[in-house]
Amino acid sequence: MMEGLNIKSWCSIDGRRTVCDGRELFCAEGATPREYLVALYRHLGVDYPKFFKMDLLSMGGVLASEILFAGHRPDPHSTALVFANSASSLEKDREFQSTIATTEYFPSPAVFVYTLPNIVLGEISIRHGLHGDNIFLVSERFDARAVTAYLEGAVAEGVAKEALVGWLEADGGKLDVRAALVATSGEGTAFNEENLKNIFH
Amino acid sequence: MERRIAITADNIVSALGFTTADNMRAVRQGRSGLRFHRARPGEGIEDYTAAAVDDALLAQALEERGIDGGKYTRFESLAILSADSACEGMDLSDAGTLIVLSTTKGNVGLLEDGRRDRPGSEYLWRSAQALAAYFNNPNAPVVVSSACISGVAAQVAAARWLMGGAYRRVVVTGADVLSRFVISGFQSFKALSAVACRPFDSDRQGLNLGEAAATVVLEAVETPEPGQITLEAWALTNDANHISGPSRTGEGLLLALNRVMQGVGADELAAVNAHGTATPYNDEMEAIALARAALSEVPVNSLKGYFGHTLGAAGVLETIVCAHSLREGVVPKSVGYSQSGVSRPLNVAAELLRSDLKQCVKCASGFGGANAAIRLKMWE
Repeated sequence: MMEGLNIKSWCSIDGRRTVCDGRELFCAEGATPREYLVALYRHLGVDYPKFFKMDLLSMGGVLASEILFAGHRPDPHSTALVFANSASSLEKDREFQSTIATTEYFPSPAVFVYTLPNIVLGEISIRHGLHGDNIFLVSERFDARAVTAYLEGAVAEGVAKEALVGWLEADGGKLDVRAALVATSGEGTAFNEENLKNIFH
Repeated sequence: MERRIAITADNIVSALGFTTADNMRAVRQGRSGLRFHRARPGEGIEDYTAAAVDDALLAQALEERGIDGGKYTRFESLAILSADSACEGMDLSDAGTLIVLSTTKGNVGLLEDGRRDRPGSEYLWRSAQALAAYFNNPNAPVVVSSACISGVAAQVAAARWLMGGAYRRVVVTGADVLSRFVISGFQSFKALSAVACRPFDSDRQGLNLGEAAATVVLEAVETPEPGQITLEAWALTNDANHISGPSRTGEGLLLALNRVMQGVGADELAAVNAHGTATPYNDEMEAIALARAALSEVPVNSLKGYFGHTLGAAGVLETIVCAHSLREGVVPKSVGYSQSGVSRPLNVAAELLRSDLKQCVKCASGFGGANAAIRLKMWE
């Protein structure tokens, strides 16, 4: 267990509510996941036109990073991104598959690029200028042990002092984004498997 | 005592054979698994060159190992065959062992073919669970899916899990298979060459895809045995530049190379095994990053001319070839190379080289701005 590694802040975004540290930030009923994320983008006052070409995973991840990095400039080299989900990029995979039917064949690079779950790591890195450690894991459920041990390893090596840990699911019309800002400095809830499970389960 | 991460067993299943020994023999002989495929009318995709695993040979290999191929998809069969071959004689049913699957697209072909008897097989974790269940392993398996660096990233993750003592053994299997999905996607990017790829060459026209499964068993050791290969350093970084194109300055790869080269000199490296996809941009980016990292004089090679780009398998497969090349005292030739087509000087291995040096670097770069590097060492 790393001494002083704390969860400083956390947020969750589903297709209806966005909550940060237990406080509701934004609520909108009856929207599709995409409509909801666009409404949240406007509510947060983000100005980043690239947002509109992103897939749902990237939209969710970038907005979570906006919320958790608010008023704080993450260090370009020591901020790690550890994200996970269970459906990988299946939402985009299905969309791309529909463009390569033999009867109507029009594969698009703009769709194909998002058929990888780790693209969100690139989008967050570009948005905040991050060159640090980053990985995307896929498991049936959030694997607190894998994530905790991975990040503790990166901290022990000295390559990470702060991290965004996230679960990003966009599958079958449902949206489930959870993310936590974890740091070796400052106050917060202790970063451990139990406390991560409370946020991510 | 200092803990180190050792590769204690390995296997490669590819177009060039079903054992590491078969694959190493082909590499030493400069034999390529790439074949030209003419697209069928109405298929949509264009002609391509790829390294495919032969179906009849695969069925035979599965039968020889007593694996019921009918229970698994082709992707899972390759992964299980590789893991089972690598873990010969090991009991993986203990809680101290974690199974990790590195893949980009898993069973994505099922979105097209559909296997109604296997609902949900398109979820990557299902394949990982099939792998874990095959070995009666009790832990929830983890999939690493970080585009083309997945295989290296999975080993970095495994190293961290082992260093911290979360597990005592991690089996990392990397696998991906050819599909219309992936071929059409790369063709839409104009990234595929119809003919055999030529990494770092002036005539390179793009990459070839390949299918493979490769497995490393990683364990924490305190005193490496003679001949044992350890992962001495590792790094995962991001370009923070573009999601589908490599950085023009090689920023992310430079950071990764610098990190794994801390404390060692370029003159201690037998080789740098590059990503070397043979796309114009990737190879140019790598040449820039290698030059900036002062590694231009180290012999560099790409293994894509043998295996094609095997996506989620590549980082594991190429690490295994690096490890065995260190043991055999060779640097495989970079198949397809004859004259430089990058803007920086690069010491591309145009022929099989001999080397007494005991360390090498393996690097990879991919979509999402992802970069990875590891440094391997053979102990005497």
